Amino acid sequence: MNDTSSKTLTYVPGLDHILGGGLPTRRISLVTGGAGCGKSVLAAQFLVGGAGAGEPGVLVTFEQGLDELRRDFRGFDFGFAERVDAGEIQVLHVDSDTLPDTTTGSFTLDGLLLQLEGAIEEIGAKRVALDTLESVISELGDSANLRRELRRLFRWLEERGLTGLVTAEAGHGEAFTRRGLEEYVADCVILLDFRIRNELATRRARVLKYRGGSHSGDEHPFLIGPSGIELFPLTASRLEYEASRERIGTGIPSLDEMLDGTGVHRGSSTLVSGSPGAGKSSLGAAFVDGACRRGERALYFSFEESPEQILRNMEAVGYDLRPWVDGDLLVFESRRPSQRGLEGHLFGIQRAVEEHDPQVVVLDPFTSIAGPQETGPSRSMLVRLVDLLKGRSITTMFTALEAANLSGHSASQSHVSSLMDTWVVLQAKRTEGARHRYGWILKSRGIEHSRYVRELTVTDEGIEFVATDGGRGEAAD
Amino acid sequence: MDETPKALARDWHFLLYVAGMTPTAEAAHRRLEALVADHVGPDATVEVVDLNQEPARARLDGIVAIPTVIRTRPTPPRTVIGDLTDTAGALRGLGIPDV
Repeated sequence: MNDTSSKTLTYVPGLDHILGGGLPTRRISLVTGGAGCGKSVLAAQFLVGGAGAGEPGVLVTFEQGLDELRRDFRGFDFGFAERVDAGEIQVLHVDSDTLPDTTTGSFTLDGLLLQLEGAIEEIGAKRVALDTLESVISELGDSANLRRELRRLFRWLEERGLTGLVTAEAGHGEAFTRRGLEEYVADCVILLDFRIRNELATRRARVLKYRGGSHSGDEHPFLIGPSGIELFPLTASRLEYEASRERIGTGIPSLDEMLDGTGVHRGSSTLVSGSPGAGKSSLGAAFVDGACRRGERALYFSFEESPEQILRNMEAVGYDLRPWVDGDLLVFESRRPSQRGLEGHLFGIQRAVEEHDPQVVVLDPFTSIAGPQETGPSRSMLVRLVDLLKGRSITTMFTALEAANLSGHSASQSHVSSLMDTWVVLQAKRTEGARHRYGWILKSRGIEHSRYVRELTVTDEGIEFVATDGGRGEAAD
Repeated sequence: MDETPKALARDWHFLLYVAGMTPTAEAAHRRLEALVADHVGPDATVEVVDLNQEPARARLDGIVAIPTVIRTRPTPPRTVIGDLTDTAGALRGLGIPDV
């Protein structure tokens, strides 16, 4: 049974769930992970969450000063700077540049303890975070002396009744941390992991150790969105096929052929960009049709046309989707772009995904809800969306409206395309009075894809990418 | 060498940060006084800052380790930590020529 009285909520969504109720109270826990894994964001959320619950906190930072932290956390909506301004969070910046690099004999960390004592008393702190220990170790030099002092620092904080966390670089193999720091924080160790697996970027959180408490030892996907870290606790079974190298067809045999003969990776994201009428929705229809033919469940988000319109249009180009809809394999979700804000769309998409539990999702056209902005809410929303779908191993197709130009892509989509595993470009052109459509694969991570332009034919038997010029076509770039 | 540091000894100033005059702090103070007298000159000054008496200075002066010695003059400042048992390290760290 969980003894929640001895646990302290982190207020990081999902994290308290996998910790069985929170961090051990009056203990210093360890958060370990590589560069860019989100350790500092987690530390900030822990302090902000505490401040909101009447538990002020001290952040000891060895790398960034208050101005830099304000700037770094400005992109998040959890209100770090406001808590600092309200005196609920004290930032103690131990500037590693001013730390001496010469040690002339034994020493204590009493100077740091006195600094901490002053900060703790000033705001009545109940929480503390130290980010990151590596910097102080690399400045002062790793020694038995320093380790003895770090141990004393942690015990001192615990004796003063503080609940806290320290961040440290992840180690390799058996070691949780690069410098074996877990030895000093024996109660709770959390690993944040950011890696590319099977060509897919994934973030995972795992509780490596929790003394005397129940916790889930599984890996859980998380994302870093506008509100900071958000975990999606999953059952173990769901993660098993996530890491598979399985490939699935796109529903168009000739497109699969261009993708090394087998299609895209399961759980990957595909961008289909093109001008109006270039065939984007048809690709989406073929994609869900292929999935339903395999007996998989598919979810089609339509942001411009009604389900009835799409069914009619797709029937004309050889995709009869009605049986799938009638058999509950395929669900259409029609949403008007103006109906809700971006956040509202994300939550709506999440809810629909949870309800229908699809293996394949199409968002058509994604650009009508995300807009062409380079940065800001649309990009962070897309990051959250991609993470949400990948976390559930859903294979997704995003269609994007793009003004036609020769290169087939523009700067406006660079922020989208960087998150995509495969990018298919479609283009409609008028030549000698006749309208022609072309398509090629601009990229596909981990797949030996075709680099040639093919002509897109749309008949009542479906879409095909037909090789021109004696079967080879012209090089796309 | 005409321009020995001893000629400019009165321009040298050291701060020794301790937390209470413990035996370790006393010993570090003795070592610093001796080191300064031997290698800089009798006119150089050493000031002891006891952070137990002035705790706010820990943060103001950015002191992490105890003992810490800062050479405030001549500038730029130089800092070492530890009890100064390693004389050669202290001289090097504080930028004092070993003459």
